[in-house]
Amino acid sequence: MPQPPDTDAPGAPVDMLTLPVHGTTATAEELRIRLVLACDRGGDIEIDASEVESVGQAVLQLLVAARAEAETRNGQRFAITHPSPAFVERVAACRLTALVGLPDEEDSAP
Amino acid sequence: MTKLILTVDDSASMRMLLKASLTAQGFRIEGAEDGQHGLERMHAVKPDLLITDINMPKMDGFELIEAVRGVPEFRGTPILVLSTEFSDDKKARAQRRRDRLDHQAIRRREAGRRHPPGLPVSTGDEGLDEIQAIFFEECAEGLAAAEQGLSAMAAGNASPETIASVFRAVHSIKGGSGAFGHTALLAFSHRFENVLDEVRGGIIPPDAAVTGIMLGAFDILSDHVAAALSGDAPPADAAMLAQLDLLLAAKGAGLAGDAAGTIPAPASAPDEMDALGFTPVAAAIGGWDDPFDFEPVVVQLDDALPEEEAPGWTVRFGPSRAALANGGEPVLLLRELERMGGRIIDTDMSGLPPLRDLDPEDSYCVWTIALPGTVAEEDIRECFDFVAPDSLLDIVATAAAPEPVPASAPPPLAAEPVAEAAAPAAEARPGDAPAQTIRVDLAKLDQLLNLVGELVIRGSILSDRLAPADQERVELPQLARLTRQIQDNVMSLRAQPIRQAFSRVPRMLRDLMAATGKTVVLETSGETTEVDKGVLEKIGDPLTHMIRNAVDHGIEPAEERLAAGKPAEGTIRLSAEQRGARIVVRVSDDGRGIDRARVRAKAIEKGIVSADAVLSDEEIDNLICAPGFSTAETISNISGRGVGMDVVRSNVEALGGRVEIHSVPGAGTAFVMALPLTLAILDGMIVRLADQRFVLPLANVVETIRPQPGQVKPISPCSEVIELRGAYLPIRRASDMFGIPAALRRAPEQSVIIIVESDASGLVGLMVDTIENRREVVIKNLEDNLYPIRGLGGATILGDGSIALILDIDAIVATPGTHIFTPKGLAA
Repeated sequence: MPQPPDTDAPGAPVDMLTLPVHGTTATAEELRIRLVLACDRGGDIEIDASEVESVGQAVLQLLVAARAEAETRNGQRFAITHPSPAFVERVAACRLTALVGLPDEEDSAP
Repeated sequence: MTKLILTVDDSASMRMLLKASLTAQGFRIEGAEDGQHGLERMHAVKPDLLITDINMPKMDGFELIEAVRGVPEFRGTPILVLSTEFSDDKKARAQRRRDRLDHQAIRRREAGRRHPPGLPVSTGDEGLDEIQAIFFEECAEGLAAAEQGLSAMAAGNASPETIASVFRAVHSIKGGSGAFGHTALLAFSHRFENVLDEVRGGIIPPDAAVTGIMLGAFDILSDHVAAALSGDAPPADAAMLAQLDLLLAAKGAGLAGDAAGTIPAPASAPDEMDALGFTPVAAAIGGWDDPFDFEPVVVQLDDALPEEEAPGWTVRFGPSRAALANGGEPVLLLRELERMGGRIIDTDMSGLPPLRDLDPEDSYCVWTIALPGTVAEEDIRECFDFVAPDSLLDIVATAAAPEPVPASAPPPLAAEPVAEAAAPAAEARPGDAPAQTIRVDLAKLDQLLNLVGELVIRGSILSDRLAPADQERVELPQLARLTRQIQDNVMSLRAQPIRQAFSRVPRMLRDLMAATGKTVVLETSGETTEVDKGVLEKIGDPLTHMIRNAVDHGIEPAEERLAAGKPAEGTIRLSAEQRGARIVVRVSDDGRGIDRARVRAKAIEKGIVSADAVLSDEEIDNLICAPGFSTAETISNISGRGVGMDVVRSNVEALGGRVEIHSVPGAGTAFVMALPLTLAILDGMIVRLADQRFVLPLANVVETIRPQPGQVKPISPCSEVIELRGAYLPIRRASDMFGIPAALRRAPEQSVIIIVESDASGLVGLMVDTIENRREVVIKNLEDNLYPIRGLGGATILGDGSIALILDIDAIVATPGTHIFTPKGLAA
């Protein structure tokens, strides 16, 4: 499960979120709340995708929407860090690499 | 065998002109209204020749040619391009070519040449007037589109789409004007188009000054169209042409160089043509000497061909919300397709809402997956066996029906149930067909409406004649429901967005601003509100008058406004909305409001009211609608001329509507027109009063009560109230209004009180004898057969053939008893 973000730290420079191992539709609601909170705080957003073994459509579309919100609307940095090979592969097959902000090549995989 | 020609042009008059001309020579003609439609028609009808315009919405001629050439089947089909977007030298070549043909040939081949300037199509042609009438309708639509676009540009929205729409509108007007020989209109629209072309190309920036000039040019263009329509002398356009030339010279010096002739051509078009390796005009005209035998290589576009797609399947899959619920996971399905050799070629997330509006359990993706042709269709379908049936699913064989993957087409999620999508894969998809329209003579619609009205009446008569047991049979209500549906449909055919009436306002406002020196900003809302065409046609004049009145009398001069602490520029808000069975149109200004002291003094001076009359503010405001009233100290040529707001009131009341005036001194005035939605049918309650039947519009009825003794109480000699759940509502006795003899009057306890609601008076009880029935009635106009009477909305023929009067509740409850049922012109 993702770590609860440190909401008390004022002006926290980076919001760290962790994607669950299996990104099912059931996990999407909680993820959405965390993403909205992160966007509201205005700092950079880092999403740890190192544990991901599978990811579903609900989580994928959330990530696309969150990146659009953070980068285009708020000017926040939005990055997915340490993406697992499974995550990179799924995102690429779904042609969403650019939309979720992963680098084009797979060389950023851990 | 007769040859089949497909003509693609966004202008209906152009298509008809081609059709009239070519059908006469024995060709069969099919039409399409834009590139996309044309491509579909190509597949459907497989013509021997394709004639296409260049400048069209959705998909232009170049894109169409590319798409057509991408289909192996159509590689040999000759294509003829008809457009005015040719450079001068190409036009000159075409001209020389044409001059060599004898006159007969010119007539015969007129369709092959699009609008040669100065050579109108022979006016002896049958049906040409009809086509020309359609051209003028298109002009009106084009002008409306251009004005909308230019207004948007003036408001700061100069998006490429907006500019393109203005360009296209003016371009179409130019095209048709040439074809029909309106040379002055052609010359002006051409110059205007040149400027627009450079704006479109980014050479002339669409800043405020340029937009202002273009708005001025638009006004002249409107005048040109009006002159062409009426046959009057064209308007003076020299000054505007000079301004347009100045724009071209100043901002687009390099490119406007060869546009020096009387009818210069836009500069960018030839470049576009050359990019496609096109030499259209000479080849096409030459080919007409031997129709259809000319070499297809003339229009070969192989360079522009897209890569040949391998045969296979294209699957478009838009999971529905249900497909994501209960553990459903589209990604698993995608993986299954990938195992079968599929790959996702497009992911459309254009429907994705902002993060905050996103429902994490809803689906916003449409996946497009390409699968090799070796996979059997059943196997693909099998994958979707357990997908929620309201998901979007489209499986198309790409070899048989090549279709460019729509990169950003927003497909309606959950629009097509799987069951319906299971049609043969190669079939053209009906959902993608563009909305098509046809023009129908309004008289035919009205005839249909009348017939449906008669059908409703006959239905009622039939129902009345049947025994009660028979009336309960299912067929009768079914028939009634069907009739009602037909009626609704016919009514909706006549409904038009009120934008058509609003679109006249900006131009008028510009003229008014020029005449008064005041600056006024127009804000409109609810332009899409739909209203019966009959109503729409009649609100133009009242609207014009209200706007003029607002600018002339309402909005103060700038210095007066500044002194009052208001912004120098005035604001007029124009809005429309539907409220129940009425359309409410509101014109409000932020001006000085009605000067009641002056209005009152003027009314006394004019003898409209007596000097000692006690008048409420509202009554004083309403005086400005009294016949013969005008407060303008010098009768201006804007809103004066002796006819005042009484014209507004009488026009609106003739429609069965009402005008209300709300004014706050110093803050502004609002004129509110409440108009009936339709002029034809009414859902009514039939009530009986002293053996006469009347119809009450059901829309006004809130509830009905049979009063208990003592529930109705007099509060003064001529007013009564009813106690209803602790509240007191005023009641009116219908017998008083109709002067029923005392012997026939009933006591409240033997009567029924119908609580009606009106905009003006709130809830009021209306006392009648009994309630008889509820019925849809066809309104027969009293005005046509008698004269308009305040308090009566018309009459109707009931099922037994008898006539019943329809009560206008608003007028009845709002008007003091003695004033109702007088002819409208005489009422105060």
